[in-house]
Amino acid sequence: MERIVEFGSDASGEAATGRLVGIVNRQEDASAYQRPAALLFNAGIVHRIGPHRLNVKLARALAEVGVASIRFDLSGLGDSPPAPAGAAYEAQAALDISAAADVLEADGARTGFVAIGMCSGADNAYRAALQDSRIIGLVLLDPYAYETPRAKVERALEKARDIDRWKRAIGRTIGRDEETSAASSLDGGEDNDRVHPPVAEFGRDLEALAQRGVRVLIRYTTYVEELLTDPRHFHDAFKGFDFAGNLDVEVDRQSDHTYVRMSAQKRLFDHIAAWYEANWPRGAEAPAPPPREAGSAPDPAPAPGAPIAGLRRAGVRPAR
Amino acid sequence: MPAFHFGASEAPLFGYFHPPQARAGLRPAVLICPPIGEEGVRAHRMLRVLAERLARAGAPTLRFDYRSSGDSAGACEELTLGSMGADIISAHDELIDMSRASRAVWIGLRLGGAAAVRAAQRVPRGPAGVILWDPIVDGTAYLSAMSEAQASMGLPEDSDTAQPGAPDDPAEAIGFQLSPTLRAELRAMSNADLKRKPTRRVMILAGAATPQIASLHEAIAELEAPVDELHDADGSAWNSDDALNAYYVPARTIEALVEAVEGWR
Repeated sequence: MERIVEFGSDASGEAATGRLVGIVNRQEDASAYQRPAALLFNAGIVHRIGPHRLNVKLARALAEVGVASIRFDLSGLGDSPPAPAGAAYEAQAALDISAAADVLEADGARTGFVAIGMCSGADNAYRAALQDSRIIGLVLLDPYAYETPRAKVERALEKARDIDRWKRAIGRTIGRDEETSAASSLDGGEDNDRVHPPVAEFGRDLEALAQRGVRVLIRYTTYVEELLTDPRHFHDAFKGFDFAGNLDVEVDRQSDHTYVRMSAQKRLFDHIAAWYEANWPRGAEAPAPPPREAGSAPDPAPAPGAPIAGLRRAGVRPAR
Repeated sequence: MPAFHFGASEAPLFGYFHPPQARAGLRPAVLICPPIGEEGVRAHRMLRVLAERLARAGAPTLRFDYRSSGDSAGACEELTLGSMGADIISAHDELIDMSRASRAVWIGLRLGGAAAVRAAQRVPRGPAGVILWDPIVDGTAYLSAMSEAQASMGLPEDSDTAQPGAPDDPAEAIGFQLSPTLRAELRAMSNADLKRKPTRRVMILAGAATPQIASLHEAIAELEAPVDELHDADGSAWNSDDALNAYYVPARTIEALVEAVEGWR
């Protein structure tokens, strides 16, 4: 069951409803929030449905395994107007993600949240988690990646062994062929001006989250293949950080950055569902509510299907 | 709330209504019929800007997602040209009901244009006009173009991928599954589908004067519907890869569309 919601908060933390547009997807019974609910939002500047409608497909796939979700437009993207002046984009995005968690909490969610973001959405997801202790899980799709000496050597050897690559190079030399391989996504301006923090800073942030108990799934694709092609390369880059066994890394070398093919999309959805099952098994006792900020005791959970407090909900016009 | 669900409660459609900001009642209402698939994703921002500009000019405007697209109910593989037409008619009724307007103009972009001009033939009290923006004229060429676009993306090899189908019959294209029904409808699409006068007046807005656009113009004109034709490459640039990750909006084309609606008789 899906419902349209409008919600929001500005940089001052004051509620300012009616700014962000989202869709809540959840079961209409008591099982709605037994598993941590998913927060889905923009990848780059694509509106809330995501590249190739991935957020809609994922929200509906998660609903089938008992995971509620909200997919929404951050301030200034999709159908959400820009935020009032005062907050930088990154800070506002974190506020917006927390506001989306507020929506589900007001609807009865008591078992924490999983923020799921792709590319710049992954950046926004982990920054929101640093500020909002209710976020107990992260799915980061092509987050920041860092090259290591081993990755560099292995990639060079791999290229040297690639017969097709040699054929293409010869073809180019004699003018018969155009190279069509995807260029390194992180070269020059092809990363949409995404600024990578120093590896130590990203490592410290991930470590802090993992030590807090946040379960993190990192999934890389060929988008970063010039930097990283194996989970070992990630762990090389973050040697010395203790992720407390809470961080999983996968490199899917059959998928492109936005999961164009149906087969790539299915692998992604299956992987996220399996990761959910490993961390918050379906039918298991609901995890204890995550700690909240001081002085903000949760309201009693409303009955399933009850109106969401403080929200103007979209009208559903009757069928003709 | 401007965003709302409408249609059948078990499979609602997503709509977003832009109420008129000025001179309400003087302008026709406008229904925006978007493209599908990757083009639908790319067009979202500029169609929102178009809707806002139309509303500011006094035209109540409705954007919506066809079933099996965007935020509407349904899986991508269930979308068909027939269901798009039915949803356009449903959205038209909704727009007339919400706006209390006496007439509406439909703006159909790409496959949304093809679906709109066909749906307009089936509505007794249909639109006062239809604007076809870069409309798909040849469904087979459209399928082939989508296949070629995906083939040129340099995607990694994927051992899980099923047979992609023939170039003019792709089972999927740039992130979206295409149903056998939709593919058959597209392959069968031709100007011969246009058998009845679809509306009182048609405007075609296209980037270039191609033989396909000329044939569509001729087919509609033969049904005794006056056709205006406008060409501006600005109106097609939104569909480029460069525009995908930029805040690109074809300002000149949007102004032309607003002016066209303002002057609609």
